[in-house]
Amino acid sequence: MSTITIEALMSEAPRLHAHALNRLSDHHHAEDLVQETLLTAWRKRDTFDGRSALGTWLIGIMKFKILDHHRAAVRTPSSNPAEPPAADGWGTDPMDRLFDRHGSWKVDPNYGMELLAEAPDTLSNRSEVLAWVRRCMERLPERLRLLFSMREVDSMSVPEAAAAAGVTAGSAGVLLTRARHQLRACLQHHRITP
Amino acid sequence: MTSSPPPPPPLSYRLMHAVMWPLLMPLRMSCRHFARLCSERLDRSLTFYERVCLRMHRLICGVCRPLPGQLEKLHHLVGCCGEPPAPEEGGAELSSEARTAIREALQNETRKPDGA
Repeated sequence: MSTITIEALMSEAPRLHAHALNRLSDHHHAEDLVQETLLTAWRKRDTFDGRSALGTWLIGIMKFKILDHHRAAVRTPSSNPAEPPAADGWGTDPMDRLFDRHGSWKVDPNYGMELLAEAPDTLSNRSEVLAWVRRCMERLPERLRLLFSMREVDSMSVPEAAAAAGVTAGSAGVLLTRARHQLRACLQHHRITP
Repeated sequence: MTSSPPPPPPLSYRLMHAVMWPLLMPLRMSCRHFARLCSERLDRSLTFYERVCLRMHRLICGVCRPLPGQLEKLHHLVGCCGEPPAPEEGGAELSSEARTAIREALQNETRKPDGA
């Protein structure tokens, strides 16, 4: 017999909403997804064995909902996976902005990157850095951010993340490279120094 | 924290690459190729030639040398901390209407005879 209560599920709703919003960038879709996730969890509450935290279990359910959502969206041919954002200038291929036609750096890649010379554990404890990492991630074009989040945050395999984002596994590698260098360039541009 | 575009690379780099690029480009050992491989090795196993290119480029280009470490640390940072903050830390909040709707949906589900 499950010990999950409606109150316990509702207490996880804000966290689920934040997770959904990060993947969808649409407030209404995110709210719908929270509801679907909690309803599914309620129906399957007897399968929750308590080996993981309730929040972790719910996020696991939500990941499948997000995948379904994006698979359905991909079938609607309205979005271009590599579509740049309208105005902020980070949407073009960062590699073209960073390298000249001979493949040499146009800018000093190490300027302002002293921060990334710190130990990873030290970096993880710096809230300002983490806030900027998230901010720079938010500046990625939506499909690119989705692909990147699924690969890096959710630790999906490249083919899984590519399928969810609606791109081929081959182009996913190029897009992930673009996302990483865009993120790195964003941090460098804002010069997050120690 | 300041916001400013980074300066061009050091003069020594520019001079060296002005001479070296005709050799590096055809061998796929340019800085651009190096930057791409540094990212791709986080997603797949590199071929033998690609690994050789990485090693060779690291040997000859001091400006690119920190790049693999930078990308690995970013990979670690995003993996452990790329999740959005909890709402009380500044994220967008779930509206009260949505909360009410979700609660009602859950309660309706409870009222169904078999709970399914």
